[in-house]
Parts: sequence; C-alpha cells; structure tokens
Amino acid sequence: MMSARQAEFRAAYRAQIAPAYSGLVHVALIYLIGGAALWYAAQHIHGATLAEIAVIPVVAMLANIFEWFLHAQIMHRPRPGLMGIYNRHTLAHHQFFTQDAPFHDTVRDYRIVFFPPYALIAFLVMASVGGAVLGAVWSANAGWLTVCTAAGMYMNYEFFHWCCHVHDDRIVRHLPFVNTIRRHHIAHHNTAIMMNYNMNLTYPFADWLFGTSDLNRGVLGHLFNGYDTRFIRNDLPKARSGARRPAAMAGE
Amino acid sequence: MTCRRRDRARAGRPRWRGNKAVAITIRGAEPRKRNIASLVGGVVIAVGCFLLWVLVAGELTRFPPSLLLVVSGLVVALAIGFWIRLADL
Repeated sequence: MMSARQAEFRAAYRAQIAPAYSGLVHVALIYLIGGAALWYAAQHIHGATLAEIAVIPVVAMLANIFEWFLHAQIMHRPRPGLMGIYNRHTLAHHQFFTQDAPFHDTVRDYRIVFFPPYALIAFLVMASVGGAVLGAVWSANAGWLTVCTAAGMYMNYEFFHWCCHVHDDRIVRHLPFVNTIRRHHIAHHNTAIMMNYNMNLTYPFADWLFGTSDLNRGVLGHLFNGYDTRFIRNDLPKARSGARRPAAMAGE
Repeated sequence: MTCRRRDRARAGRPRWRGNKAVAITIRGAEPRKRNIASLVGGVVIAVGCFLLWVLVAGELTRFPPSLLLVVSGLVVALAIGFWIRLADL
C-alpha cells in the first residue's frame, strides 16, 4: 500500500522528468555501450589459459565488493563533492520506491531505476585502467578479460536492479538469484535499515562478507535464499517491517 | 461594448485575432532548470561513445576506419550527448 507521501513524491518527480526523456532509449544506450565494450574487449582474447580465465571470478568478486562499497559509502552517505549521487539515490530513489511500494509503473520511471549512461562510461574507464595495468604486468588476455567482466557485471547490475523494481510475477519469483536479490533489495528499501543493510544489488556476497545482510545464514544460503524470510535476523532496527514478508511480495 | 471588450480597450492590448497557437507564460511557474550533471555527463558520454564507435568500427573494418565512419561516429556521439542534456539525465 503506497503512502500519500510516496504518491505525492512520485507525482512531483514524474512532473520534473524532461519531455525529451525516453526510458527505452535510456536502457538501449546502456546495453549498446556495455555490449559494444564487452564485444570489443572479447575480440582481443586469444587462447586464454586457465589462470587467465580465473580473472573472471576474481573481477566479478571485486566488482561485487565495489558495488557494495559504492552503495554503502557514497550513495547512502552525504560526501562533499558527491552530494548529487546521495541526493539522487537516498533522497529520491528511496522516496520513490519504498518497501511497501517498490515497483515502477511506466518506462518513464526508468529515469529513477537505471543509472545515467555516463556512469557506465566512468566504470568502463576504471575497468580499462585496471585491465591495462594487468595487461602490462602480466597478460593481455587477463587485461581484456577484466574489461569484459566489468562490462558484464555492470549490465548484470542494471538488469538485476530493474528486476527488483518490476511487479512480481511467476518469472521473477522463480528465477534463481533474481528472486534472492528482489527480497534482499526490497527489504533494503525499508527506511529503518536502508543506511546500513543489504547494500548489494546483484549477489549478496559482500553483504554476507561484511555482515551487512539482514539474513543470518551462510554464503550459499545468501546466494540462493530466494523469497525465504525464515533466516531474517532479529537484531535489526525495530521499526523495520522487513522482519515480515514485504507487503509488496505477500500477495502471491 | 461588453465589459470584456471595454477592459481590453482600456488596457490598450491588441485584440486577439485568429486561432493561432501562442506561448503561454504561467505566473509563478519557473522554467525547467537542467542539472549540471547532465551537461558534464553529456560531454563525457559523447566522448566515450565516439571512442567506442571508432574502436568498434576499426575492429569491424580496418584501423583507422574510413573518414565516413569517423564522421558518422561523431554525429551519433554528438546526438547521444545532446540527448543526455535534453533529457536531463
């Protein structure tokens, strides 16, 4: 059930979206740029060894920790010089989507679901620098695999985050990882825990690693938890309604 | 003379003719202000898209790609950057 305050915020936010904005163009740009970068980097990989292929899980893990760090320390903390990110996320995204009404209604709402496409450019530049260093000190294949993995993880992030904010149905409910991150992220939209818990947006690995998850179970349990609420910790801030199943997911 | 016509004549305003569309200014309504982030972001994405275009075109054909491909990349990149600004992303 959406509160009057949230409905009012949504109406005001939607009224401010520029007429030229198109949610589909926004998403298309992200996936065209990310896909092109991934394809270009993949063209340079030739005869990769097992050690070089092992770069993929390592970079994926580092990207997971980076995603956690960015969310916990930048998007939810007012840092000088980075206030725009804080305003856009904590003050806008978290008012637009709450635990009880976490779903978007139209493609114009993509404005507040997806990062602006230039965030992807920044992320690709960072990954390319890392890849160049790795390529210089060890192997070119490892460097290109770093870029491939980073681009893939970014697109994974955007897709999973979108999945968190679509209306519930039998597909997202049963998709492994997707159902896990949906519960995880919708619980994060509870204002009582949003500043400190459930900071991952893809796989709740870093939340498990750093103890910032609302679940009390092992790493595999975290990754494959789905909608299960039996393992929710009972030492979380009391105002949270996340101890129960989020209302938005209770109907099915 | 009706009251409305008299008022208009007193104010010295030209009488409205025809049925053409006119710009409407609503008192108190401020013009839409775009965020500086969309300006910086528009430039960043235009540069990024252009570089990516050249690299991908070079991979698909030869490096450096033909002038036509480079110019079309420039047009596409500028269009994307301009759209980011217009859409105030």
